[in-house]
Amino acid sequence: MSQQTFHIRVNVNGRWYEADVEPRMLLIDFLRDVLGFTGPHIGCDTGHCGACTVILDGRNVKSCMVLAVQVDGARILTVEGLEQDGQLHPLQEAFWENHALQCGYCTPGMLMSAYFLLKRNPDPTEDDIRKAIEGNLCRCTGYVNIVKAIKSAARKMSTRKQ
Amino acid sequence: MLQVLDGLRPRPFEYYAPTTIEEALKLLEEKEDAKLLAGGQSLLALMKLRIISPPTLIDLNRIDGLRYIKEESDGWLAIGAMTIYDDVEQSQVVRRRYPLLWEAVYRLGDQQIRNRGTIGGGLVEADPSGNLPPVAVALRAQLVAMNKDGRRIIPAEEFFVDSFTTALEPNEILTEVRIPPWPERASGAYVKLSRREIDYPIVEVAVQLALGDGDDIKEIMVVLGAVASTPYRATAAEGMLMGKSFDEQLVAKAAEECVKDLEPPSDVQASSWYRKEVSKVIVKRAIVKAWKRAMEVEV
Ligand SMILES: Cc1cc2nc3c(=O)[nH]c(=O)nc-3n(C[C@H](O)[C@H](O)[C@H](O)COP(=O)(O)OP(=O)(O)OC[C@H]3O[C@@H](n4cnc5c(N)ncnc54)[C@H](O)[C@@H]3O)c2cc1C
Ligand code: FES
Ligand code: FES
Repeated sequence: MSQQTFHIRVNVNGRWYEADVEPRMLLIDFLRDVLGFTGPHIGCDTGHCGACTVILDGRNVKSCMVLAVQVDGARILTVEGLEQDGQLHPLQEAFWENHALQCGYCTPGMLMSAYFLLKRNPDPTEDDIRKAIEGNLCRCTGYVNIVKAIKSAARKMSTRKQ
Repeated sequence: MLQVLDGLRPRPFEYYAPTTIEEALKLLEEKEDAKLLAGGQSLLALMKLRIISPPTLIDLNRIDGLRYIKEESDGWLAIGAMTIYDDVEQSQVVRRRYPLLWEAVYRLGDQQIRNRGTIGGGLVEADPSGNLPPVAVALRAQLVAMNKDGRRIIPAEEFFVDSFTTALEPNEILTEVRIPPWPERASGAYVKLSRREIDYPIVEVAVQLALGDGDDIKEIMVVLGAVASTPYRATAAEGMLMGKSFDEQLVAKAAEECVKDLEPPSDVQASSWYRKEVSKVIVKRAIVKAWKRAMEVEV
C-alpha cells in the first residue's frame, strides 16, 4: 500500500498550524510530537484515563481517540491555551489554591473537562462536577480537592463576570 | 514528517472522508473490507490494540445531514445515525417522550465519549453490554439502512443477530433510528448496574410500557442487556404483567420468572451466577420505575 498523507490545517490555542500527516496518526501524537504541545498526556492509550483530553470545537474529547486527519479545519484548546497574558485561568488558580494536584499527570486533562463543564453550566452542583470528570482518572491526589477546586473556580468566574 | 510510533498505534490504512452519503456508499462498494468510522470510540480502540486492522477507513463525519433529532408529523422521532450521544442527552424531546433513552445515554461512558460517540455507532457496534441495543428493542425502534440501490427498514428486534454482529450487509450504512409514538400514558426506564459509572454494565434493563384506563398495563417491553449475546427480551415476565394493576410483589415474581432461562456469561466484571441473581433486582427496579413514571407518581 502506498503511504497516503494529508495536508491539514489546525488552530491550536488561537494559532493556525499546517502539517502533513499519515492517516493513522492520532491527534494526541500530532499535538505532542508534531506541534510540541506536551501538556496533554498519554496515560492509557485505550480511551479510559482522560489524561489526553483537549477541547475540540468546543467539546472535551480524548485526543487519543481521534485521528489527526479528522481535525483538519478545527479549533483545539489544550491546557497550554488556558492562561492569558501570563495570568492563570481561574481553574488553574483554583487547582493550585486547593491542592487539586499532586503529581499533576491527570491535571491537563482534568482542567479541560472542568473547562467544558463550566462553559455549559457556570453554577454546577457537586454531583454535576463529579459527573463531568467521570472520564478523568486521578491516581494520586484524590477527587475531593479536585471537586473543591472546580467549585471554587466556578464562584471566582461568576463574581469576576459581574 | 514524523514517524508514527509503533506501540499501541493502528496499522497503516487508507483514509477517505466523503461529504455525501452517495459517495460513502460508492466507496463502501469499491473498497474491499473497508470500515466506516463514526465516533471512533470503539473502532479506534480496536485498531490501536490491533485486534482489527481494516485496510480502509471511510469517515462519516464530513457528511452533512446525518446529525439531527426530528419530531415528525405522524409522531415518530427520527434520529440521524451520526447524532452524538451528548445531543441525545441534551434533547428535551427525548427526555420528555422517551426517558429510558435519555437515561441510557446519560449513563453511557463519560462526557468525552458522549461528545464523540454516535447513536449509529453504538447500535452497529452491537456490543452485548452496550447501553443502546436493549433500549432500541424496548422502544420498538426501526433502523434505516441504505445501500447504493436504496433503503430498507430493519426492526430493532431483528437487527442484533449475534454479539458484535448486526443484520446490516457489508455495503449498507445505517442512516437513521426511528422511534414510534407510544400511547399518551406510556413511559419507560433504563437501569444499569456497573462498578464505576464509566464501566460497561454488568446487567442493564430497558423497560417501556403503556397503561390502560387505570394503572393496568396495556403494553410492555422488558429487555435485558449484558446477559446474552444479543438483547434478551423477557417475554415471560411481560406476559405475567399484561393487564395487571400496579403491584410490586407481582413485579418481583415476574422478575424471578424472567431470569429463569438465562445463562449469562462470566467475565472479569461478574460471574454468571452473580449476573443472574442481580438481574432479578435490576429488572424489578426498572419495571417499578417505568410503571410509576407512567402513573405519574415518580419522575
Ligand atoms: C472509555 C470508554 C467507555 C465506554 N463506555 C460505554 C458504555 O458504558 N456503554 C456503551 O454502550 N458504550 C460505551 N463505550 C463505547 C461507545 O458507546 C462507542 O461510542 C460506541 O460503541 C461506538 O460508537 P462510535 O460512534 O464511536 O462508533 P465507531 O467506533 O466509529 O464505530 C463502531 C462500529 O460501528 C460501525 N458503524 C458506525 N456507524 C455506522 C453507521 N452509521 N452505519 C454502519 N456502520 C457504522 C463502524 O464501522 C464500527 O464497526 C465506551 C467507550 C470508551 C472508549
Ligand atoms: S491516553 Fe487518552 S484516554 Fe488515556
Ligand atoms: S495528580 Fe497525580 S494523577 Fe492526578
